[in-house]
Parts: sequence; C-alpha cells; structure tokens
Amino acid sequence: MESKVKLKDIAKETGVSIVTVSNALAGRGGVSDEIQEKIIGIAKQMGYDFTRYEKKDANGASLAVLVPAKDISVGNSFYWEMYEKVAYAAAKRHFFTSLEMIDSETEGQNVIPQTVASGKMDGIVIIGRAESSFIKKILATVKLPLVIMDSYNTDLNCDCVISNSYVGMYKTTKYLISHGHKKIGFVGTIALNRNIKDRYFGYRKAMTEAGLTISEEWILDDRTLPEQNIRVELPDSLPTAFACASDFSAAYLNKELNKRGLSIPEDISVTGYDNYLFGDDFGNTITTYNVDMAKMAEEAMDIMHEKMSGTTITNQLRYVDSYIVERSSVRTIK
Amino acid sequence: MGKRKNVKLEDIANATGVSIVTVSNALYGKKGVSENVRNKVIKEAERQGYKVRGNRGLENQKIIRFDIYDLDSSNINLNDISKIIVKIINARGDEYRLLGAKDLKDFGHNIDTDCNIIIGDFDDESLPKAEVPTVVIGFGGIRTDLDYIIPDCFHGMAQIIQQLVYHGHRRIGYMNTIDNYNVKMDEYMGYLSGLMSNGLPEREYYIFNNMEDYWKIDAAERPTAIVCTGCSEATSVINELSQKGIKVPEDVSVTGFFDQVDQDANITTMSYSKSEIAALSVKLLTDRIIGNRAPMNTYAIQGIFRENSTIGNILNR
Repeated sequence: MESKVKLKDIAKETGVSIVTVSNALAGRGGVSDEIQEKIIGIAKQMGYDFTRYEKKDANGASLAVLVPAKDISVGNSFYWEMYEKVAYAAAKRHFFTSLEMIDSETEGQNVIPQTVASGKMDGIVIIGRAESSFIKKILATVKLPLVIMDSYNTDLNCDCVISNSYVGMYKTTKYLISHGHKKIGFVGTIALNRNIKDRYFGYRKAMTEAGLTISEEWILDDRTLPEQNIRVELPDSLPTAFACASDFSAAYLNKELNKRGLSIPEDISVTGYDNYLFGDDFGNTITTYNVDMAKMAEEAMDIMHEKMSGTTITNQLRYVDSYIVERSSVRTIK
Repeated sequence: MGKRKNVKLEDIANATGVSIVTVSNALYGKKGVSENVRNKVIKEAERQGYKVRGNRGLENQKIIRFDIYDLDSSNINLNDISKIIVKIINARGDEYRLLGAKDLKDFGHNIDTDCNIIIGDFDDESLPKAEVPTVVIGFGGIRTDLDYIIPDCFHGMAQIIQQLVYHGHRRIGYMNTIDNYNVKMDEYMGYLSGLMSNGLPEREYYIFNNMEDYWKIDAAERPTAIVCTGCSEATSVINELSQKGIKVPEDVSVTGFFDQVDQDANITTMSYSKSEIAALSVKLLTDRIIGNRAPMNTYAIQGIFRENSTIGNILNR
C-alpha cells in the first residue's frame, strides 16, 4: 500500500550507515542500546516491514496470566471480564493463555508461580495489583516479557497498560460542570494507589480550569486503610454533586445518601468510573466513565508480540482512554 | 505550497509525446516502459505538480485528502509537526492542504476533504461538528467527535519531580509562566502529583511567576530545585541564577520541559517524539477512513526523561 521503505531510507533519516541500520534491526549488536532503539523507532514510524526479522516462535506462544486471588473471586467479576478480554485478544493472535490465581501467601513470600516456574511460558501478563517485590522477584528470575494490566508501579522494569484515570476523571468532572454544578466533591481514597491519585488530579484539573474551589470537607475517603474495606462517611453539609473514583464507591455513597433521606439525582448528582457495577440496581443508572478492557487487552497483546519478536526492547506505559456513558445520575442545575 | 492540483494524464502525454496509456504505466511502475521514457514521464509529471503515488495502481485506492490546520507557530513544541505530517502524507502518495487559524471559520465547509488535522490550542467548543475524521494535536478536550493527541505532560512532569526527589531535593519550586496552553495545566497537576507522591507539602510561595518572587523567599527556605514549564524558561532562570553567582546544577537544579531549541543547552527535560505524534495522527485518520469505527479518544504520548546536566544531587552537601 505504501511505497516500500528501504534500509537506505532509514539510514538517511537516522544519519548512520546502511550496515548499522541492518545490524540494529536484526538485533545483531554493534551499536549502543540507545542508538538501536532510535533506529528501530524511526524504522517503525516510517513503516518499515519488519516481518523478516520476526522470530518464528511469536506464533503459538504461551502466556501465563497471573491474577491475585483476592481480585478474581467469584462475584468479583471486574477482573474476570478483563481476563476474558485478554484470553480473546491472545487467541486472535494464536497465543495460548494459562490462568493462575495467586493467593496472598504466594505473593507475600515471593514464591514463583507454577506456570512461570515450569519454564514453558513465553510471556507473562499480570492482571490487577500484585506486590512490587513479588513482581520484581519474577522479573529477576525469568527473562520473559511481562505486561501488567490495570495497575502501575514506576519502579518496575516492565510494560503496563492502564486506563487513563487522569483523563477519565477530568471528563466526568467536566460533565458535572457542564450541567451547571459548581460545588462538586470527590469520593476516593487518594492514598490508596496511583490510579486513585491520578483520578483526584483529573478532578482537580477540571475544577481549577473552571475556577471552582475544592472544599476539603467534600473530599471523601471510600476505603478504610489498611484493610481496604469500603466505607463512606458523609459530611454535615453537602455539595450539589460528587465525582466518584469508582462505580462501586458511588453505589455505597448512594446508600449513605438514602439513609439521610436524599436521592440521586434529585438531591445530589453523582458520576462514577469503570462502567462496571456487577449485581447492583444502581449500576444501571449511574453516569460513568467506561474502561475499555477490550482495547487494553489488545494493547497488552501488541506489546507482547513486539517484545517476543524483538521489534521493541524498551518498556512502555500505555494509557487507554474511553468515553462517558450517560445514564441518569446527573441533574442539570441552573 | 500544498495546493492540490488537477493535472491530468493527457497533459503529461501531450508534453512528453507519448500515449496516455504509456504515461499511466510509467507512473505506476508497470512493465512495458523503458527506463528512459519512465524517467522522462515522471520528471514532467512532477514538474506539472502531479503527485506520483508510489506503488498504488490507478484502479484502486483513492487518494486521501488531508486538511492540516497549523494554528500555533508560536508554540515551539508543536511547530515542525506539520512538516513531519506533510512528509508522511507525501510518502503515502496522498494529498494535503496546509491551512492556518483564519481558515478555521470554514471548518467543515470543504466537501472534498477526507480528514482534518488541527495542530494547536483553540476553543474546541466553538468548532462545528466534525463530519469527517478529525484529529486535534496539542491539547486534550472532551468532544466525542474528535480524536485528541497530547504529550502526557501530567505523568511527564510527575516523573521530573520524582527524579528531583531521587537526587535528594525536598524543596522544589515551580516557575509558572502565564499562558493559555492547556498542557500547562497538565504540567502543573503533574508537579502537584509529584509532591503528593513523595509526601511533600504544597506551598503557595513555591509557585512563582518570576525570579523576583524566588529571591523574596527566605534563604533557608528557598527551593533547591526550580521546575520550569519549558526549556527556554529554564534557560532564562539559569542565566538569572548565574548573574547572582549561583551555579547550576551544583547549587540549584533547574529542569525544563519538551525539547530545547538550542541543542547545546543540555537542560534536564522530558522529551516527546514529534515523529511519533505525527505518525499516530495520520494512522488514526487513515484507520478511520478504512472503516475503523472505534469511539474518539485522547491519546496521551509518553515522554522520555533526558537527564542532561542541569539536575544535581544535593545529598552530598
């Protein structure tokens, strides 16, 4: 479709010799890692055809999919759905997946999971939040591509695919602002993890841009720490709306508001995050930000393919954005 | 430059004295044309402004017509992106029109446009609904009829703060230059997020608009690092510091953002690939044209930390 990009085109663009380009693309060495990455990057952008360099075993590869057991118990289906999307995206590329649930003891004692220890895997996907030390142990023990989904730690030397919490929460808060709300609270435990912190700043960006004041008393925690049990305590005075960091918290907030004789959206407007509320009627009414799990799974498999075939050697952090799902939990106020 | 011309095969045939069929075969790499004739035809075609399409045959693949609105040449971080996009479009054999801010009022009125790229900051609420695939480069909005590509300044600035903390800094100031760029808000949020991640308090007096405010701070409390929102701002700060005998990075660290105009300046910064942004914009549009109906999204491009030499370690002092 495009005119064919040749080695000499890449050589011209990068300012090195054709031989250097060839060696870099084939991974034959002779150049520093930095220059090799630069050459590969430019070759990709120019549309160079890498198929001749792809290792033949990128097809039929086996992936270990690890999920902390606490995140995937029956009835707790957010991560089940994410696993389903990963298995599907993998299958489309002729990768095989083996699911292994990691119990907290295995994780706490940094024991290498069975699927990984078997030596038969070509790559690892971790869905959900696992301990940094556990992941570091795996990375140190096996030299396999590893992609984490839905959580990130900047100190880890691997790839990550997460939903764009900062942008998502910015969108939900702007949605409330565009419906006339000026007194808007935030529900989420900012100290809990980086995703929630990003969501707080997305909320803050929207508020600051609109010149609205953030009131500390309307920043509500939704979890007890360290147990992480869900709990929301309502303050005495209330704003006209709450931007919640998850649909789950929004549902809990709804219950607390009901106890006070208040209802959504007549008295208080609410937005959520995830677009995933399993087994709760409130979930059918909440305006929220969608987490595109299918897209995240595709991105993760793209990275896996690039790593296994050697076309990329650096680690990437990919953010996946999605859309607002408008339902009926937000009222327009004048 | 970039005006789409309507050159016909007959025009080239007439000028070179060969048949229209030969002209077509020559331009599309088909057999049966000698090298001599082929070169002559191609040369005449280019002279007349006809865009040769590479290996695409005449019978398939319509040329994609891009309208590129380059709005903001004063933002050095976005200039050159349109040049790279034009290169990519030419390599693909497609066509483009290069437009400016004054042309935005006619947005959506061009019936022969297949897709749009808008580069720079503008009021996206006043833009009419996009009827064809449209990508905005340089800021993030929330319209559902547009794709947005932004450098991820929020996480990028958080990374800079993290690097400063790794170098021992706990008193980190922020030089807040006043302008309207949407990404500056992302940088500011990134600074605040970086402070929060490291348990550092937000102090209003650590956010200043000029160096006078910096000198007003009590010497014992003064920031040991100054974070700037761009490399030219960082250069000004470094110059002002050196005029007072303050050495960078030995005494105070200074960081910038995006690429630096003066390559020798060696400022510690986050660098974002313009080629990556340009290539992604074209890819998104061509994907949508061939039928990809995925919802419009914001694509946050990750940057690379460039340590360079204006960040110093204060742990040893």
